[in-house]
Amino acid sequence: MTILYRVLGAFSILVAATVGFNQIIEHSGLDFPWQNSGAIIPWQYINPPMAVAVIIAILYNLRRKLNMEDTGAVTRDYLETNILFYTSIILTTTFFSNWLFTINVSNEAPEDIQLLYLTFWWFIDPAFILISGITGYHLIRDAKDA
Amino acid sequence: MEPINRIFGVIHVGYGVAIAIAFVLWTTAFPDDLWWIVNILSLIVLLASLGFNFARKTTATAASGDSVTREYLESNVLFYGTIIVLLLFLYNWISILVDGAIGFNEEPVRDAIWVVIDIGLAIISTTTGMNLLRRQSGD
Repeated sequence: MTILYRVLGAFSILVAATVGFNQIIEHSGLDFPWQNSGAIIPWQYINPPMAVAVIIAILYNLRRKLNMEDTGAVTRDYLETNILFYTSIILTTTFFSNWLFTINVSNEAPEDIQLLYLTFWWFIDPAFILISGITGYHLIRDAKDA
Repeated sequence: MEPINRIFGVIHVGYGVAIAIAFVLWTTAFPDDLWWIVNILSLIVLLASLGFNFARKTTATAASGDSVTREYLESNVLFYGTIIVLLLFLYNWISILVDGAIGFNEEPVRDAIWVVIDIGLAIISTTTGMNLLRRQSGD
C-alpha cells in the first residue's frame, strides 16, 4: 500500500503541476508551432490523466471522510476532510460534464455557449490544481506515516 | 418516524446520485423531454429536504447552546444551502414555465445557473438522505 500511495500521490501532484504550468503558458501570449491555442501540451492529451487524478482525489477523500473519527467536535481534520471531500464532488461532476460537452457538442453549440463552457474550465483548472495537489500531498504523507 | 426516515432517506440518496449522473451524461444520453419530469421531482425533493433540514437545524441549534458542534455546523450549512438551491431552482424553472421551454444550449446565464442547481441538488439530496438513514439506524 505504501508504494501505491506514493505512486498515486506523485502522479496527482505531477498532473496538477502540468495543468498549472500549461494554463499559465497558454495565457502568456507565447506561440508554439505545434499548438494554435498557445498551450505547450494540447488539452486533449491532458484531460485523460486529469480524469484519472480526479477519480483518485474523490476516492481518497471519500475514504478519508469515512475513516474520520466521530467525536462530535469541529476539529481541523474534520474541516479539512469535509471541505476536500465536497469540493472533490463538485470538481468531479463539473470536470466530467465539461469534458463530455467539449468532446460531444462543443462544435455544434452556439458561440456564447462555447464561451460559457470555456469559462467553466477557468474555474475547473485552478480547483483541480489545488484539490489534486493537496490530495497528492496527503497520499505521500500517508505513505510516510504508514 | 423510522420507516418514513428510511423511505425518504433512500429516495433522497437515489435521487441525488441520479441527478449527478444525469448532469455528467446530459450531452451523451439524456433525452430533453425527461428534464420536465426531473424538474417536478427536484421540486418535491427540495421541499422535503427543506422540511427535514429545518427540523434538524432547529434541534441542533437548541441542543448545542453557544458552542459550535459538528451537528450544529452541518445542519446550518445544509439548511441554508437548501434554501439557496431552492430559490435558484424556482427562479430558473418558473422563468422556463413563463417564457416557454428554452433548450439547454440557448441561454448562457440560465445554463450557468442550472449547473449550480444540479451540483447543489445532487449534494444536498444525497447528504440529506444519508443523514436520514444514519438517524434511522440510530447513530
